[in-house]
Amino acid sequence: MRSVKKKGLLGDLRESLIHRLFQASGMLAILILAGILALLLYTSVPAFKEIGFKEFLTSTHWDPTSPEKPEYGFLSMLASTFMITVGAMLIAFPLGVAVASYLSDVASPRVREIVKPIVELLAAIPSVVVGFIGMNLVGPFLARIFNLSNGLNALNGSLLLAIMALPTIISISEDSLNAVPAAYSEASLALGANVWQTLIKVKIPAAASGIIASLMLGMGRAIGETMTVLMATGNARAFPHGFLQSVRTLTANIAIELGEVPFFSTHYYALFALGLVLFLITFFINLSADVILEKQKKKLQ
Amino acid sequence: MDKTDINAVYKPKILVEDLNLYYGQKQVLKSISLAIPENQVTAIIGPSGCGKSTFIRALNRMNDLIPEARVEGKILIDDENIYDRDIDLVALRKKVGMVFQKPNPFPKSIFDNVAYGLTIGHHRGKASLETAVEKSLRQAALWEEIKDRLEQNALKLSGGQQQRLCIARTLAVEPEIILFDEPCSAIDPIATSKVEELIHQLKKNYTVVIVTHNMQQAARVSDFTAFLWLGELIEYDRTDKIFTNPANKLTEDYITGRFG
Amino acid sequence: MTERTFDLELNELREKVAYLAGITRRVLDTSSQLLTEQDLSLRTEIVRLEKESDLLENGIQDKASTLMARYQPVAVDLRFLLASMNIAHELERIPDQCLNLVQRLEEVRAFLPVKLPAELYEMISRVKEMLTLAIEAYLQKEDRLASQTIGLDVFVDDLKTLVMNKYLDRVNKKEIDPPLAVFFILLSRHLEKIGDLAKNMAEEAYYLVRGEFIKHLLTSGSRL
Repeated sequence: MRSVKKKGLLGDLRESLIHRLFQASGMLAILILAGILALLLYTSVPAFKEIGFKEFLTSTHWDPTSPEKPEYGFLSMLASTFMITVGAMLIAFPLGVAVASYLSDVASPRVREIVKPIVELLAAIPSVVVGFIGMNLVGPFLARIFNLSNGLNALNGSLLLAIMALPTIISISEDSLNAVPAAYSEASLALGANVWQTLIKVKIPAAASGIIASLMLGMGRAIGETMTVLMATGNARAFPHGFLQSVRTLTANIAIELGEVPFFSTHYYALFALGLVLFLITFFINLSADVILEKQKKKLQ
Repeated sequence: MDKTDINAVYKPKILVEDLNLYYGQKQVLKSISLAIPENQVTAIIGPSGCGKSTFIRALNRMNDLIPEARVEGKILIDDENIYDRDIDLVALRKKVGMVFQKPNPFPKSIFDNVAYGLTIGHHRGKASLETAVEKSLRQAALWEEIKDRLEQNALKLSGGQQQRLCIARTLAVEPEIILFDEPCSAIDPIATSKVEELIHQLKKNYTVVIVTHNMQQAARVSDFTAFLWLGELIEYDRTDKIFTNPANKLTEDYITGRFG
Repeated sequence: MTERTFDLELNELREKVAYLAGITRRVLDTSSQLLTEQDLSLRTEIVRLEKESDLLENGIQDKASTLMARYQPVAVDLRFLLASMNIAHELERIPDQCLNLVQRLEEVRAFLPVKLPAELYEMISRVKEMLTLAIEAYLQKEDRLASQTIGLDVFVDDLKTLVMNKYLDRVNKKEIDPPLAVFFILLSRHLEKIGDLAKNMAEEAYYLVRGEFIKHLLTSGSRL
């Protein structure tokens, strides 16, 4: 007969050490995030004190270096950011879902094996390269079509961001389409539906939350993207009135101005306040995407 | 009993003639011929991997979903070879409904699940949909249990209810043949006996083919039993004959649990 | 595959039936001894064995029904259980008939000793043979032995008719005391009944082996 009682304390000790090690690494990630948030908060508080919430949140003018009256309104940049992002999503989402559907349900295994890595490779292109393409390829192309002096505008940024968001949207949408149990498709086909009807009426609704999460993650990526938009959108400070106008996003503005700004000036703090806004937006988008994905996982189990 | 005997008494609904089925190089079904009689329950039994699921999936061409599957021979349903080129798969699958191993309702409302087959392809009025849904749910002996919560998500139902919902969903498209692929392997004994009772009722209006690895179930629900072994049809006869006095030693060894 | 638990159980049941058959056989032997030697002291032994056979039959029915409930047997296993139950039932009725034989002998106590007609000796040996064959048919799963048993039953039936006609005739001719004639006729009937029971057992054995019911087909005499 074997006893199942514990032998000695060493085993216990080792167990608890390992447990603590993992716990510590998990905590570290949270600590770093909290640290960033704290830093952003700490450095943006002076900005709000000096500028005031009202101006920051309601003014459409951003002109910190004006000798007469510096202005610190973030609205035009926020609008630009959203415009480009929404534009990018309008292009990338339908396309991404279509490609994901094709890959998960229509393509032969061979085609899938070739196309999937290519899509993933798209994500590996450095943003500066994409920006370069925007300046030298998409820009002139847009200029010719719309008869503009140059093609560095919101539409250009949206197109490029769409390309950059596609891999995220495609791979997460495809994952969630694949996570739909085969039993659903079988049942649908056995009831006399064709592949197309099955996709539209059963698979996409079943994978809906995953697909929406892919949209939000794609959006998160687009909002945070800096180099590409910096290179492709022209960076005019004015409040945007159309897709063919030059715009400056939150990220681009921080990148442009942070190198020049004197430390600990109002302008310096204001840029951190923009950073905080950016942080909060992407944080909430990613968080909700996570929540939605988690929900889908539960639903399909 | 050979084929002619069964044909003499019962009108065959499905006539399988020299069916061979391959997955790539591997032959899964070997020269199977049998006549499945109309308005009777025919059970397919055999050890795992004998090809019984493959066989039943050949009857509504669900095997088409497997790219490397290849079929030789004929399956005549009402004298039409379903492997002919001019067969409309959609029409075939509406005529030959299927209920699967695990209850697989869509993550939709109970109503939408049953209405699903009726709403694809063509549109029907709401009133006619409602009538059809109620009729199917009644036929599946589920109406009384769920009539007050048709809008509830079907995944909230118990396993047994889900399976009867899947049966209702199949009935809604008005098939003539219903294939059951181990319909009770994932539900509890009480739910199983409800499904079995339902199968008894269904044979009045439908031709039923059921694959089961539960021999007692085959004995309870079926009129005819086919025993498949390593892709071959070893014995096919009346169920009462198979379970009291099978002609083949392999059949006897299998049903008495001496192998498999 | 090693032997299944169920096979072991079935074998146990078979042993029980074999044992009951042994008891029955002893009752039949003792009864025939009692008839030939006209020794009524053997009665106690027969009564004791009859009681034992009752208990054994109960045990068999109990075991068989338990096995049915627990294993839900089909095909040959099902037929074996059914045949065992029915054979045990028939076996248990043979000692009852033997008690009847004893009873008849006691009724003619005043006439003892009497010389039994040769036909009755013939019947005794025939039914013994039938019992042996029927049991062997069951134990060895031999349908041929079952057919033989059923064939023998015709002889026993004929012998009974013969005894009856002969002794009714003699009574009419006043060649014999009526109570003795009745005694012989009743003996022949009891023996014929034992033959029937053995035949029933053989039919069960036949069903066990071949899966066919032949009970009521054979009365026409067209089969076998």
